[in-house]
Amino acid sequence: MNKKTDNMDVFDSLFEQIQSDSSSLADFGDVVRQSMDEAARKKGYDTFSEMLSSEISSSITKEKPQKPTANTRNIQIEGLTRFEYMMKAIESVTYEPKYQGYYGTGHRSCLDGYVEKMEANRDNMCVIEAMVKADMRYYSKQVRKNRNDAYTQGYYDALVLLANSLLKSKKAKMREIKKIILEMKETSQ
Amino acid sequence: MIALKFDFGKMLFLAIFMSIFGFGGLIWPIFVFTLIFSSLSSKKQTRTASRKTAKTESVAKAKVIRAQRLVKEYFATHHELVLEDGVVLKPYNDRFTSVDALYLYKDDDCVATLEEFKKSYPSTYEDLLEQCERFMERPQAEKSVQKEVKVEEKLSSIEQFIETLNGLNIEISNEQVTNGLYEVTAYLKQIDMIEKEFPDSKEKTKKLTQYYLPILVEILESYKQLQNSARNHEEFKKTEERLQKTILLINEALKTITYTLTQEHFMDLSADMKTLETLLKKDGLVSEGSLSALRNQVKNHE
Repeated sequence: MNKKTDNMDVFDSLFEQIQSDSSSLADFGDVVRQSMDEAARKKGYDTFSEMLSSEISSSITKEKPQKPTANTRNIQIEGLTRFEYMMKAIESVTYEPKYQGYYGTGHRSCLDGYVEKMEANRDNMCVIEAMVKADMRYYSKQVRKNRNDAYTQGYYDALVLLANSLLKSKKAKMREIKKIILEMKETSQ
Repeated sequence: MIALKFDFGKMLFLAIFMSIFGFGGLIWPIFVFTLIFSSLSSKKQTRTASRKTAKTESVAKAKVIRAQRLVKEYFATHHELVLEDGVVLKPYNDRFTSVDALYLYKDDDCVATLEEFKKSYPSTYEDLLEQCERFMERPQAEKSVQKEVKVEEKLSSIEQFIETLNGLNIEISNEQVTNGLYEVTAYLKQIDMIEKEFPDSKEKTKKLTQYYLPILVEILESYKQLQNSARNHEEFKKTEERLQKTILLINEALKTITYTLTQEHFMDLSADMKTLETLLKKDGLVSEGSLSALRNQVKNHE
């Protein structure tokens, strides 16, 4: 389905509702606003006015909105467990106006679900990695089947974020272990 | 004599050459000869160097194989290997399957499998195995005794296998294999319930827990490793198909085991009920007609 068809569908359903429903002018205004907000949520925004202002500003600044990512540059993993690093990474995720709405809901729902699982397996991020991998296999197929489903896309992107952060923490810890092994080798020689 | 002949031949050639081209004509052949000689000697050096490298590599490989064998033997009687600075090696779920499937822990935090560590740092992996050999010699007798008791308690339960299979199932991507494994765990749950209700049936499931299931777990571990590293190999597809057939066979076998575990009890129950019916008839408490009428009633109710 293309963007044009999406927009026309919104108006068609709106006019059908006006013709069938005998509501007052005030109700009609609410209906219009709700339908427009719903269309904006599908695009990733919370409300229609937010979508409008964001689209205008991005067309002026020519800046593309960035997908939610974990800002891990300032997080020092030394001295942190993998669980603590993951918590900090998840806390650092920010959402631009374009990635709110159903996309944001899906994204946050994935992260919240995994925060619970990580709290139940604080010492075992390896189990969490296996779960994320299995979920990614499933959701990648769902995303291909339902390209317009913003919730699923958001959920899948959150899984990718988790996988990348887990990999970073794994690599950092492996570097620490490598250092220890090399020190042990030197002392034993 | 031959050497003299050769020298004489060389001298003669030089003399003829110089008489034709003069002394200056020698420069070009000397240059060409020097080039040929230096390339021959460098080829010889490369051959010698490559032979030395191959020898070093095979020695290193033999060391790794030996270290892996020692680690495997160690984990037959221990459930962890403590190194230094909080680095520990442990098998998944306290059940050793292979050396590369061991997990590296740092301060009780699970980091990665040895296989993943090997991929990232292959030379440090060899150093790690060397250090493991050193630390294995340290006294860890207490843990080994605890481990034996623990292993016996755990291995006697089918639930441990269910957990292991579920853990492996998460990492296997082939849908048919995954669905087959779900069926396996469903049958195992049933068998576990039967064992709890009828403890005398544990004898009949000994072979299952001591041979069939451990072999299945090993097969799945190896398949998982191949899936991660050799998916594009031509043999992988055939192996996958064979694994699907193996799992179908396992499910058939588990179905038969479930049936045989309870068959005796059903037969005993049926015999007891028939005995009671006969006794009631013999004592004149029920007549032939009432019994068949009751049977029809039950059939119609169904």
